[in-house]
Amino acid sequence: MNRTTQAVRSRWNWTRNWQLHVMMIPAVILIFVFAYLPMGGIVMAFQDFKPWLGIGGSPWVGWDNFDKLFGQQDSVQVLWNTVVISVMKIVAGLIAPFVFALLLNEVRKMAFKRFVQTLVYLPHFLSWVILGGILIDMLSVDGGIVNRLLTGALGIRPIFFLGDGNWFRATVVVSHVWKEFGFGTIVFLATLAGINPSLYEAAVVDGANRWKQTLHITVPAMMPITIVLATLALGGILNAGFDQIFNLYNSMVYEKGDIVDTFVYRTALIQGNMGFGTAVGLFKSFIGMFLIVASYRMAYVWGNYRIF
Amino acid sequence: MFYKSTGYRVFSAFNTAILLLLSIACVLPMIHILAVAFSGKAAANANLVNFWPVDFTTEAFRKTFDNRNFVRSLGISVYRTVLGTAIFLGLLLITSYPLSKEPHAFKGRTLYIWYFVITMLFSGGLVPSYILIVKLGLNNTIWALVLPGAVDVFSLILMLNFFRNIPKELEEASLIDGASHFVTLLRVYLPLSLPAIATLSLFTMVGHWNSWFDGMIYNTNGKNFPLATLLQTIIVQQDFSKITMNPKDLADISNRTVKAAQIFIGALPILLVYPFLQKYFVKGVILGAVKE
Amino acid sequence: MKRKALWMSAASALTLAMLVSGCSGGGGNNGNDGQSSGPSGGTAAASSGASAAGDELPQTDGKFSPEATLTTVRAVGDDVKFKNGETIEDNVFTRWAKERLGIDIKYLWTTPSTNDAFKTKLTLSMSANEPLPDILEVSGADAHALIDSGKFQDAGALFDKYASDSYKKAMDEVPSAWMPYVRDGKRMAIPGIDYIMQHDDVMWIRQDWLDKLNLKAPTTIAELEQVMDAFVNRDPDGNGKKDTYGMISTLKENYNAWIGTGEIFGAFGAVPQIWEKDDNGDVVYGSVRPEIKTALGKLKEWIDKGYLHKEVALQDEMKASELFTSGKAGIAFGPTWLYDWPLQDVVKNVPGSVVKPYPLPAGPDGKIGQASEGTHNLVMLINKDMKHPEIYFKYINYLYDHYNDPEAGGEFEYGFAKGYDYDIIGDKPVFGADIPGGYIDPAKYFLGIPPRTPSIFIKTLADINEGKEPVTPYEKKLAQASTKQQMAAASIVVSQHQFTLDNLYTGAQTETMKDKWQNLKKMEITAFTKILYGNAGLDSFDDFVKNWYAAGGEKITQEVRDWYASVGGQ
Repeated sequence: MNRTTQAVRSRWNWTRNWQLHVMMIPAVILIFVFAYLPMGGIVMAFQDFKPWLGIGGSPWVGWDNFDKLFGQQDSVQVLWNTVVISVMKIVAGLIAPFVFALLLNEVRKMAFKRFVQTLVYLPHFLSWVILGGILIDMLSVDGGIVNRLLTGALGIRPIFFLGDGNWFRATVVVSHVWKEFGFGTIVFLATLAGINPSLYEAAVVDGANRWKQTLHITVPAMMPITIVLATLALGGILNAGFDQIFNLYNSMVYEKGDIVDTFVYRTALIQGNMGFGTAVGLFKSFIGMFLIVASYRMAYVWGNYRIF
Repeated sequence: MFYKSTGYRVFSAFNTAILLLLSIACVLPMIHILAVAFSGKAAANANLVNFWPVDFTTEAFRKTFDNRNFVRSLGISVYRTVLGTAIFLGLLLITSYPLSKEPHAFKGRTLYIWYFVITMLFSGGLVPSYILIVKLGLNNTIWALVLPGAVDVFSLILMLNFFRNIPKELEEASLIDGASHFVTLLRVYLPLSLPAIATLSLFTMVGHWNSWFDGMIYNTNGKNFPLATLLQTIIVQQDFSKITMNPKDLADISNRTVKAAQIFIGALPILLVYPFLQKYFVKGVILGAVKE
Repeated sequence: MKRKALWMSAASALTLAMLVSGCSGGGGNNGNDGQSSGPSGGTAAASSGASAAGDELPQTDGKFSPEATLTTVRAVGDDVKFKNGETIEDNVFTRWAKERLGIDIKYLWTTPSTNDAFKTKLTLSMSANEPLPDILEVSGADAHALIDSGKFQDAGALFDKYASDSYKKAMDEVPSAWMPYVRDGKRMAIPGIDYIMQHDDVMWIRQDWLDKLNLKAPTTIAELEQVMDAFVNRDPDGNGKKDTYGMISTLKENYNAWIGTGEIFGAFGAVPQIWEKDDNGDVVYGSVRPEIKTALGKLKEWIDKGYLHKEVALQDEMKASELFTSGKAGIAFGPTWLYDWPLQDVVKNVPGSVVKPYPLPAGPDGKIGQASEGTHNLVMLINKDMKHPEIYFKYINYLYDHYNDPEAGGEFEYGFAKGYDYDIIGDKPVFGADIPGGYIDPAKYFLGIPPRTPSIFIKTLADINEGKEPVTPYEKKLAQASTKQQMAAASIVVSQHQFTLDNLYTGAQTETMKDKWQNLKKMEITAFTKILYGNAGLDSFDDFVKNWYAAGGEKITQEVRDWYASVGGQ
């Protein structure tokens, strides 16, 4: 009996595996054409790229472009700023929608739930160009609504949100979370929708209250997707949000607010130095690759979970 | 039931209040933009508008719709979004299904997955991508906007993780019944993954709707710009130092009210689609229907 | 095993990728071939053009016949408006070019004018070895790299050969405009000369505030301080709150922006962020001159006293001007057009407000100074493969001869096209909002910047302001279309023009600039803001100067001086 099952199973694998490979074909081809073919352009990182000479004809400069990145006086500071802002964003950007999804999950009135959901994802659609302007108004030291509330309610001195390095970082992280948490909730809501209700029924039979149910059923069920999201976010750790910083920063917060991308923008992109841009991109890719592989291994070894 | 306990009621009240406050915080900028869109030009430019229109007028909206390019671009955006999302969904399903299998059930899975993951991290950049599109003859076609991003690895990874939550027994039963993998995907996996599919479709639709850069570089003239590209050109501040100064032009360019109207109209279609997808996020309906 | 397979596939992918880029590389090589054969080809074309006029395209009745094609590319900004369903490819101007000149204008591609779209598209298009247009208008700064590509011909020679007398006369007013584009004695780009003095600043003041507080317009920095103090502390808007500022300004990145601060520095003897002469006559970078220190100290004082908005280092021109237009600030330094836009909005927002221009105030030693915007922003490049450059000159000459300063009764007496920039109602010309269907400026469709005689605009305005009767169509049109404020400001600008400092360095980025300039700029801005906001003492300016020179400034200064000497600067 057991042996027949075994035999049947292996025949399955044998006869049906080809179907799985066939299903992969379209994506494999598209990725090859649109992702792998252009990767040849990575060689630009080692060139002084001139558009009229093309990738084939531009002069080779070895590691010059990388030297430029690390040779600048304050590039260490810029890298550090990027990592600090990025890590804070990743952490806060995961916790906020996670918690919000849990809270929303407790709402029993469907209409209210939908109402809230629709409203919180609105900021996602506003570009930083727009939001930058609005934020600068709202956070203004004299007359900005936030400072008016703070001085009125707490009686403290107005805070120079965009003019003080530490406050600037906080402002960047909070405004990022505010913009994206609603939209980020959607993935978690889909996960919540997928939890088998019979698990809760069983818990109720065991006498677990709502808090215990959340702790022992809901949260564990959301963990895998959270880890996946965190891992994928790590791949972009050196992307601290160019659009946002660029529209908010100013000379007063260069020291703590200047990130790799704004730095590259000022150094190279206005001059059209594609080679330097590619070199920075490649550097970012390797850091991201390292972090992703590391977290993939950790999740597999410690959690026995395959992230992808 | 738990929700009748006093503790839970207190929590519920607090919860409602917090959610309400957060919702309001999220919607204020949009209201501000709407108020600007309906305001008189002078008041808007002098930054006198908060959350209610000053000198109410619908001129900005009229101006926007008078612009023929705007209406045509709207059409192109809808086309691109529908086509792009359809292709994306098809590829997503047939690709993430095999990848959700364990490595021993699908030989070569690990190889495939890294083949995809690497492309998330490394990219050739703009120049070679452009050369590729031109060499393939795709510039000035809708395919240049739809095909390069058709396989989205991020979505792929999320989807395969969702697929894994579906009980293996259902799959095995289907296969033993003699169904092919393809049929199993359609009959068993698809109906059970609607929340995930709705989520990822929404992401893709938003992505297509908002993406502007590709529309800009792969089209040789403004006639074929999707809406997002057109809006980008309007919303973004002109670099004053590069245009030859003429106060009349500047007054026109800096017309905040028209910008605001266009931002609002640009976001509107997505705002309208969302409620229809929302029902898939309602807790437990789907899996609850399956008897195990 | 798996890992090996992975690498195998990655390797093969890379090989293939190389093949693809090899294709484009091949294209690039072809370009190279073209380039190496370029000089001889170029000379051949030039000499044949010079020797045999018969090579030029046939013309009948002053137009090309058969029609000649002229290809170009452009950014179409938001400022380009259309009516009657026209497009950039087909409009009143392109039809005119075809009918009057026999020139068929073809756009290879167009882009928006934002986000560096034009530059990006140009880079990509060149990388993919797509054909370049016959004529290409780019910013002066971007031109240098393109000139070095060797894809363009000696435009100066063509100018000498084909340009009409009126065009040459206009260009002769600003001979230095060619300077940045000279390579081996050849002028490789034609500067798109623009009106001079149109960016020179005056001091705009809320006259009603002055009158209300019984003050006179300031003529010195000391008087300016008194006026600002009154604007801040004596409640000029009469709302009982201390919520007004003396002056708007922007200290974000560019100190010489169109809401300026440069003139405050200038009053102390140095203008920041441009290359100028020091007291010994040597070229130096303005921001590191000792006079700047004094001015910074003054500005800090003003921020502390609330004369300037506390966030002046966060504000760009738009944000700053909002303070003025909403009636919260009383003084702005800006060009003659600043009243027309945006300052005029204050009249709508605050009934009874009056804004008037005044001369720039002088510093403690009687000094006045501000930065000039130069003679041009844009240049025209001419493709080396363009066989008949006379097509372009035919067009531009015609406009210089007839449109720039039109003759009475001529084709362009009232404007370019009836129903666009003017109309005739009854037998009277009407302009602006009176045109049925709205005003549209067809000059926006021109190939590059419209023809402009540098001296004509501001000078004419000033003359009219001083009572000269408008006679020519150009003068009449200006008199009718300009605001009183702008004319008054034009007179002031003309009278103070000797205080405008040209940026003495207009060349391409020097070798050291390429690597160090952005860093030096960041250093400068950071040091200045620290001083302005009291995060560092005024004496830290001396350290900044020392560091600036050490971090590449020294070398750059030398390079700039060498360049200046090489182009014949004294």
